[in-house]
Amino acid sequence: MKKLIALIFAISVIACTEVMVNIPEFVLPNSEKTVLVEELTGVNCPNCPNGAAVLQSLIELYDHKVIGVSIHGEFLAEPVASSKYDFRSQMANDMENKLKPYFGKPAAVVNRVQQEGFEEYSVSNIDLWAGFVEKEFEKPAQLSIGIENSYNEDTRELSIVAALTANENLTGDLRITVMITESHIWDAQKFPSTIEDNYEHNHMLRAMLTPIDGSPLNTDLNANEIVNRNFSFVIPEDPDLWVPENMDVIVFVSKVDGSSEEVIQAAEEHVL
Amino acid sequence: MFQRLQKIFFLSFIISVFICTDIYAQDKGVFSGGFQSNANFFIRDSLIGAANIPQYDNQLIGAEAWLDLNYAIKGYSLGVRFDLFNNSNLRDPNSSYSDQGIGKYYIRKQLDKVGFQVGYIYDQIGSGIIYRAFEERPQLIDNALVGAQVDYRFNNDWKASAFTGRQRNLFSTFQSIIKGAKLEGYYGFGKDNPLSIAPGFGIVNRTLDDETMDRVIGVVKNYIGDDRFKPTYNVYLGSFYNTLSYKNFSWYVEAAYKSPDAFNDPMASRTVLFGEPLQGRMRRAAGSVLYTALSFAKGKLGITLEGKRTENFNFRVDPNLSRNFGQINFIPPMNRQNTYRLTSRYSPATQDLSEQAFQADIKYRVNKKLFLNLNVSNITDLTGNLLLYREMYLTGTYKYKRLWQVIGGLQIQNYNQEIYEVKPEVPIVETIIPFVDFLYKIDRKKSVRAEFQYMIIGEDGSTLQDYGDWAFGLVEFNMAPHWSLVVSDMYNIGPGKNAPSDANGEKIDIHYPRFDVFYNNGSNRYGLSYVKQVEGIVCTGGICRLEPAFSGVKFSISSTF
Repeated sequence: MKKLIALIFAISVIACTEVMVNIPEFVLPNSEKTVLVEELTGVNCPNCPNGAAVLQSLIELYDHKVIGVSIHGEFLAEPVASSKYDFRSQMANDMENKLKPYFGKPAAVVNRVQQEGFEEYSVSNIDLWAGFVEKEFEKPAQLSIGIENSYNEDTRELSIVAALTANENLTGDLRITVMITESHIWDAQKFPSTIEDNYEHNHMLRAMLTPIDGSPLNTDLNANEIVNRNFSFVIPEDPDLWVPENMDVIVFVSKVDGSSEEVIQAAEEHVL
Repeated sequence: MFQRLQKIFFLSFIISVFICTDIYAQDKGVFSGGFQSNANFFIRDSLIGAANIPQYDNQLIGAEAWLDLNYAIKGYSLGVRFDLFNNSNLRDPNSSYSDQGIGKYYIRKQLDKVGFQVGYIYDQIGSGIIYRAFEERPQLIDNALVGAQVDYRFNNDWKASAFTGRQRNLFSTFQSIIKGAKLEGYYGFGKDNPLSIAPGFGIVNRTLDDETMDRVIGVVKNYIGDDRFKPTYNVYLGSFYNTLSYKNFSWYVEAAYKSPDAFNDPMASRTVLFGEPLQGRMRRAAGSVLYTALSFAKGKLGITLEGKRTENFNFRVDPNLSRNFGQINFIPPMNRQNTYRLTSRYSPATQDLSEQAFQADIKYRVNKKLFLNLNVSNITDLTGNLLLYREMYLTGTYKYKRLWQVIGGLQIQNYNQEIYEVKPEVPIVETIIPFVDFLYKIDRKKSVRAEFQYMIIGEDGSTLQDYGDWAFGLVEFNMAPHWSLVVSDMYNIGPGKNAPSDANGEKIDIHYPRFDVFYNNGSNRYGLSYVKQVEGIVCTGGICRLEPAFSGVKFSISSTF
């Protein structure tokens, strides 16, 4: 009996020893690929500052090859008592509904890819976003997008030329989406144990120049052929918000195939 | 693939039942089952927050249904369950879920001392601290082990079992592998000696799959400095438990240990490349739980004392999961499971990373008419400095012949809303709730019951805490054996800081009425309810979650056969 116990113990000790996993160091991908992160957030969401910080870290870590959009839809986005602004809008709410389901905020969808094994489309675990981004950078850059903005200070009209150059022949239902974001907006934000009255909101979705499902390109993209699309937008006048210096234009192309609408490339350019 | 296998099993089940019925024509076995269905009709009410999920916006109706079929013959047991979810908010009250299929199947055979089971298996080790495969349907938690289990009965007192498999994840499974074994027994110290013990020992191992490990690596890779750690595929848990009985005393003790493993710690500080440190990150540490319960019962008096210490004992199939998803174990809650509407409004969910808790329950029967119950509980974090929950609950029950009965009581609570509901800048909620429950039997078949509860809540600056003061009234009229009618209203009599406001920003005193009609016919029960329900913590079977407000009509059917 004693021998049997000793044998079981010995086997247990041996069986319980496993080779330790190595964590590789971060290497900036050598690729033209960019990755779009659409983040669902809200002023009334105590954990959302964590999401915003993770998103900003990813943008910096990947040297702005990660492009972030923060969407203040209806859920947990009601202004707090000390809020100066109400960031909610029908457009943001429509986007939020489009990027459902999610289990809570913050949540993000990376390149509009439904992650395998996840019921959520926008994933609420902020720790996982980096892994999803990394996986997207493993894919080839099928397209490059150039953005040229010209802004008329008198009329406040912003003209945008998006130049799409495919690196390979691209066919199917290709759609272009154009978003306007604004950063450096200082207003209240709920935190887990406090409310910060002067919090910096960045990458906030402010306008869309295309339908939320994107605008069909109505053409295939042949390799190395340039296809231009033009857009214009009059930036509203406001004493505090809609500051052109703080605004960016984001253009991305997605490929719609059944329920999939994966973003194949994105680009971002300052308005000024 | 998994769903195809389930369909094949379902067909096999039907065929087996017919074949078995034919082969054992003289022994037709026992066929049993049950059907349960809920339908929710959502009526948008933005004022109370019953809005902004697809069910209120456009889906309007959600439904769930379960059909259980079980058959036992000649030492075999087999069963199958069909599950259906249409625009259901059961799994996540903030979203919509639709799917259907075979939710469960199993085959079990008992061969003398050995028993085998494959399929969906529900079991637990000890009180569930290191392993519990269970179902809590009201929250759509079904953590069955999809795998195989072998039991061996040494004699009438001692039994061992071993199992392996994967945890159910709706109509598929999580990918990590769970293995475990337990040995349980009973030993009496002689016929004349009142001393006995019922010891047990269990071990569990979980091995992560490559995909889950890749996700863990993807997380840790982005950590910097001391936040980084080397994850392992395997985690090992062991627990020893024993119930010692001596005369009027019964003493249960369980000690559990978990080897170092990765888990999410929402309170841990995370260093980021840019900006201030964040709160919340994954970390790796060993964990432990100590739990004990001492009971004494003699004559008119019954006393139960419980204590629990929990440290880093979050155990899931995937360290990336949160909330109630993928939990392999169950740590018993250490507070009274209240049932009255207002006394259960603030219920503490078990904290699996840092908690120490004590509970005492004293029951005393003064005479045939009067019965008293006092329950006190105190829960803090491991430092003892952060109060999580404290409750004092006193009731007296007075029965007058068989004509009427009255229960009167008082609950005093302190509830750390910031921790349990992640609400910033909120003080510890303090409540005092007197309540009374009166039952009057009109005749042998008819009775009427009335409840009244009033919640006096603490102050938060110039206003009242959370939603403020509440009054609750209920009248229930029963006509045995078929009908039961219930009318109730939860009235926000003194709206507090978080109560809804009107267009002018003034707090509104809102009524949350509810009307129920239940009809029982044999083993069938039908229910139709109009419900307006405030946001709050909902606990079932010791598992709690924050649920949003609800507004609508509910219809339910429950049948057993």
